Amino acid sequence: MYTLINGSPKYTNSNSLYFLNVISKYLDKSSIFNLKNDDYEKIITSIKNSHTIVLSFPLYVDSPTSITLEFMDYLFDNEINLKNKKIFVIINCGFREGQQNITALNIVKNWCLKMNVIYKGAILIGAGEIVGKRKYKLVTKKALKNLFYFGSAISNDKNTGDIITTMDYLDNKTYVFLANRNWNKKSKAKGLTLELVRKK
Amino acid sequence: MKTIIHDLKESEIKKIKFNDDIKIIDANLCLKSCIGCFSCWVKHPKNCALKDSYSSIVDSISKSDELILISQNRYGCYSYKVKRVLERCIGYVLPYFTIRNNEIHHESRYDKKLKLTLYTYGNITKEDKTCLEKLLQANAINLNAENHECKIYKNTKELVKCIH
Repeated sequence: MYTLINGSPKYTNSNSLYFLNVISKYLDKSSIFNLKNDDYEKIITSIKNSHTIVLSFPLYVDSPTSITLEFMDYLFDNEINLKNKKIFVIINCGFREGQQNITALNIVKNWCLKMNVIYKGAILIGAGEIVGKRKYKLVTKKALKNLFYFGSAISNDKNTGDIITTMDYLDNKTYVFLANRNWNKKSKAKGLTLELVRKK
Repeated sequence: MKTIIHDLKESEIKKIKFNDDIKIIDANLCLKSCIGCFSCWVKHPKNCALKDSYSSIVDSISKSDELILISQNRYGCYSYKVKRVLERCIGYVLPYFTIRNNEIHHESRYDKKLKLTLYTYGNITKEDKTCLEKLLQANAINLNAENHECKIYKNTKELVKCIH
């Protein structure tokens, strides 16, 4: 049994949940929980009945989301016994580079050491918004391939190490151009002029 | 001016004598966490959509020359309480990306460069320390801070004595 945990506050329509849904297709028995609205006790019961946890969250301020940290604290402070449970981690960020998720991953790794949880590996996804929304099929192919590999590795109980996926198909300048154009679109949709976006 | 975001008890923060003009933000009382709506970027810039006294902290940070974080160390991260407040301040930077140190980061909203200081307390391992320093450095890059410093204390008692 696998417990899949979504640490995105945008639970229903988050990229983090999408990645968990992809992974769940590789696992025979799994339950997905959202930290934002699911009862902690329910999640903990599921973890206790599982051998493996998959934790997925977006990078907020270079670290796990506060709702993820709060849950990690709850488990630690209440001395919930997770000894020898295994964990895989999925972190995605809006930046092009998957390695910008490393700081957040190290925090989870430190937590694992203190909780005696066996760290099995992670996938650190750059350009999470593009990969998660499958906006441009061609450029997301490699990241999705890594994700599929990650899913089958979890089901085979393999140590994956830290897999880093960066949006290599776009260079920095193109990535900035596309992302900023997208932010302009979003602002316009909310009735905001581009000058107002930069309001001081 | 300085802005302080802390997770100390009321009795502890009261013991600190600050010399400067200071805005103190108590993270313990912040009950609402970021919902990822990005309104602070694309709807009503700077301000958080969640309505409480934490909605407009960005204005306070933008007037400050130093942002001070006082937080318990949790596995090489800030406490979730301090982190929760930080998530509600992301309007301090723009949604737009820019290239900094050959990496993608957020563009600054303000020209003024902050000093970012972390005072952390509680049990700390070597791994935690490395991790905290990396986290602070990453935050400093994204906030386009001028410099950053991480000060480590065994407990709040020591911290309260040393900070001013």
